Amino acid sequence: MSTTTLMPDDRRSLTLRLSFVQYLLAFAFAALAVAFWIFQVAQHERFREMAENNHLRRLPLPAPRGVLLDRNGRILVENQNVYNIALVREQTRNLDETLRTLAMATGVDVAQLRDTVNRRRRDPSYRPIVLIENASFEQVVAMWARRWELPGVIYQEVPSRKYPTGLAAHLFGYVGEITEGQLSRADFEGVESGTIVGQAGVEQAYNRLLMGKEGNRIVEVNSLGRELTKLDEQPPVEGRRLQLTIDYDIQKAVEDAFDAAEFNGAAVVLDPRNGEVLGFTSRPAYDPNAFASGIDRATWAALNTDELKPLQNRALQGRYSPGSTFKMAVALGALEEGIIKPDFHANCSGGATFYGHYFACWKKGGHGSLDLRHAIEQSCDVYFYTVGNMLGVDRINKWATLLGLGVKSNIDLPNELTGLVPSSEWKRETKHEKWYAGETISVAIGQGQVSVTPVSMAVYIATLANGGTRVTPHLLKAVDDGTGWKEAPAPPPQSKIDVTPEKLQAIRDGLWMVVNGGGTGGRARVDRHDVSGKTGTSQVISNLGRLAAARSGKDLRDHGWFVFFAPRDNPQIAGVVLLEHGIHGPNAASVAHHILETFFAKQDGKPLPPPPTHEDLRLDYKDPYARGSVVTGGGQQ
Amino acid sequence: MARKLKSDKVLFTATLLLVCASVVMVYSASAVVAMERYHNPYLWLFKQATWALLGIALVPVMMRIDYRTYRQPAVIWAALAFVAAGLLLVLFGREINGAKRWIGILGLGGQPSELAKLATVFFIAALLERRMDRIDDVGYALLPIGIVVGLLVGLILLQPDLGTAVTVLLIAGAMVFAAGINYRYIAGLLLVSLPALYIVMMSADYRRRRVMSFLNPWDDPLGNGFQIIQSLIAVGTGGVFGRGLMAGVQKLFYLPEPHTDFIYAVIAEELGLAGATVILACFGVIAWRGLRTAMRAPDRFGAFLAIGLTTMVSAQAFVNISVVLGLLPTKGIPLPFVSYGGSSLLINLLAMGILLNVSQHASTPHVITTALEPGIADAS
Repeated sequence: MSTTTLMPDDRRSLTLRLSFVQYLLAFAFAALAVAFWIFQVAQHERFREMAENNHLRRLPLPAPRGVLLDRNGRILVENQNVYNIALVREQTRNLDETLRTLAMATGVDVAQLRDTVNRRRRDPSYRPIVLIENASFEQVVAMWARRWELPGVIYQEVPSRKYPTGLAAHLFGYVGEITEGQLSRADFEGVESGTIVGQAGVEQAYNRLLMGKEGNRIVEVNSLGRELTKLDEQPPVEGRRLQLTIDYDIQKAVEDAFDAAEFNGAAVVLDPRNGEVLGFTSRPAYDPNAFASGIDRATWAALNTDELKPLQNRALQGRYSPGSTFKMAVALGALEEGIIKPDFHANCSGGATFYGHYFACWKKGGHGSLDLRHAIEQSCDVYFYTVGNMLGVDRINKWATLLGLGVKSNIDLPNELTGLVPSSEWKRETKHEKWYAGETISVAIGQGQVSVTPVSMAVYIATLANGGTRVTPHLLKAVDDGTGWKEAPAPPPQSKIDVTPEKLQAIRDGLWMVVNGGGTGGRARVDRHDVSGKTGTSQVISNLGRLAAARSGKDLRDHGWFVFFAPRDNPQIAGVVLLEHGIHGPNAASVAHHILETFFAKQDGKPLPPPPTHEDLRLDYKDPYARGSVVTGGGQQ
Repeated sequence: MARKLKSDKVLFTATLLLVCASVVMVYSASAVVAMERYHNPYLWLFKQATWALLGIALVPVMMRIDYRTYRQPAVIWAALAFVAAGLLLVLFGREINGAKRWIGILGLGGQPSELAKLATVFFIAALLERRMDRIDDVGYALLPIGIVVGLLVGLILLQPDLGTAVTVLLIAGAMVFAAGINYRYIAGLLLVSLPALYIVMMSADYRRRRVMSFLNPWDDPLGNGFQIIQSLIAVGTGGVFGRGLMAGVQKLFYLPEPHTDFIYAVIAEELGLAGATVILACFGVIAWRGLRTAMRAPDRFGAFLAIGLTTMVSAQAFVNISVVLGLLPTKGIPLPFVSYGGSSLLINLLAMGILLNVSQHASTPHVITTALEPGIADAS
């Protein structure tokens, strides 16, 4: 390595300059030392005094969260001010007595107050501990009247979340104090403990936008920490206003229909052209207002131990067999792979034998000979056993996936689960066994291992409706950052398939006939509008298991599905209704009917239909199994 | 290095002392804030201790790498390219406290602007090694330095990170000065830059307020003067021996960033004049011994490397301490080795490792005496 060694003249000049730098630095550091001596020794008294009078404190001012609006500008979620009664421990003389007096004045259990104080005992004693959240006006007045007996007890006005519509609890989610786990996560960087953040739904997904910016108040405090005067204030910045794709009227129709049906379940309604979510529900629901200013423990415990799991978002997290609604995936696969043509006929005599096993059709007497259109209309099981057997499980998997089943929809809501469409590869990887052709038969009618989430079913029917584009369902339409509304770009589709229009048309003809012909979806018919759809009934338990479990008291009634789109040509609405233990698909079609009727009334500028009564829905409670008639195979409609 | 070499034990000890002080003081300064914000008083202590151990382990490694490795063009250009890419990338990252400084890859992260200081030192040292003789030739020596430094400073200012930009400029300035630049240039630069600086400072409203608050913080004690006053109160209440470790009050509610930029105020409050002077002395030792290393370096590259690295550490220390004492406007420069921050600590310890390697190659002092003997050919 050749380096330029220092020549004596170099060194001389370098040394000269460096000595200069050296002494300059020495002087600078010495000057600093002198400055320290001046501040710390010579002027020590002056600063000690200042420190004693240094009673300025910065208090954070919570920012109101952003308001949520529907697609027409109607307020869905807003803020209101509530009163908290809080305690500053360093100002109390006798904590126990104070708590007892307060409990008496406000009618709260004293043990509960003590419990609250104990849980926060590690907080600094100047920091207020909230004792009664969302205190009533009477409680605040009672506290204020006795304020001389209650040193250290204060009331605070805080912004709180309000969900005035009572709709779509799972969609909006709820807010709560940031958890210990969240504090250490990157997406909550800079958020302090005690801050209210979104914990579910849109509140969680768009928390950053909704949160706003905390303000600051600089106050002078006395030696005990009581605030004396306000010296300066930086007001908080309200969170961004968000416009959702939800249509309040559609959303209300969804909820009204579920209320009338008195079943649990889920529904997702989309615009099939772009994936905008128009309506969304999961039942049973909870009251998000209960979370707004801190949920009490009893309510929280009740929500968590309820067997019906009201906190679960069934639309994203419930996994159910699709039943007959799956048949379109098999049909499209068989058509596109060139296995069958729309005029392919199969003969149904009420059942058929595959690989040594007898598989029944839901219609005991059989359908006779049908083509694809009529097989969809009649939901003939034997037809799809036959076609599914020809197609094979892996090609069923391929086409179901392209239509959005067994994969995430990637909706902009947290904690979506994936369904399952089996394949030979899946079985090899998870069970280390080869796929048996006989298993394909029940897969072909949406039973067996097939499971789907309602939101993926909505994408599935939207993809069939729009001609092969697997749209991404989404909720955010526009954002107002204080300078006006800015359209949020729609997420790109997840995938797109080139389907042959004539082949898809055969399937869509069948779907139209389901509702408007002699099919099982007649209850979804809307006068002068072409609704297409498909019912499905998904077995909760195998027929053998049913006999064994019949006395366990569990709800074993089948789930009812209805997937739909309308109008038949150039669809503008698509969706899914799932009734948990809803017995039959046609019952779900009754619920969908009110949604569709509302949609078209609004579009035509006519008065919206009134909420249906239970009787209006004409639900069919005849449980085929209740009569003890055991049907092997499908039980499909 | 197979050859048995003596490294500068004094320099190493001073550095080690500062790192130890850092771990203790970061905990003292941050425990309450960490507890309030994250319910974990040890959060920043653990992070800082981890980086300190890693950094100290790297010092012996750096000491064993011949410093002449860094003069290879491939190394220098790779370092510059890496830094430039990092600085560009960081602009697309997430904003933290109003600036984009931090970059994270695979869970590891750092501030590329820290690495920019090191890359600047390598580049200028290598350039001056060959072009020192014609340092006053603007196109030959000053222009290339100006372009590279200007680009890096520009990218750093985009973040924006004024503190680091000033440090890079100070490093470049010290190295060019040591190379023997004509005093006329220095005078000219001052004549042009001081009025320009004045105009820049006074043109933007927020900058003017910042400067004014520095000149008289008591004019606006709750707004712009708040930080300086709180820092001065911390220093002033320290007295000779301080309030005692962990017993400081100012860090609790009043000092902004008590474990990063204002950690020296916490030291002064808790350990008093005694503690503050020890820390100051450590930096004095590093500066003195670092420049001595430069004078004794066997070749130009080593000399300039030592100057650059020493300036990097001591200039930052000087500016940071001056800010704490209210002698300079608030800049956002961390105290080397002591302030909380992984990438800053690591880069400074790497720099010390390189400096210690240069010191191992130091020639004996008598060379200097000969060089200073009169009658030896004058430079021209």
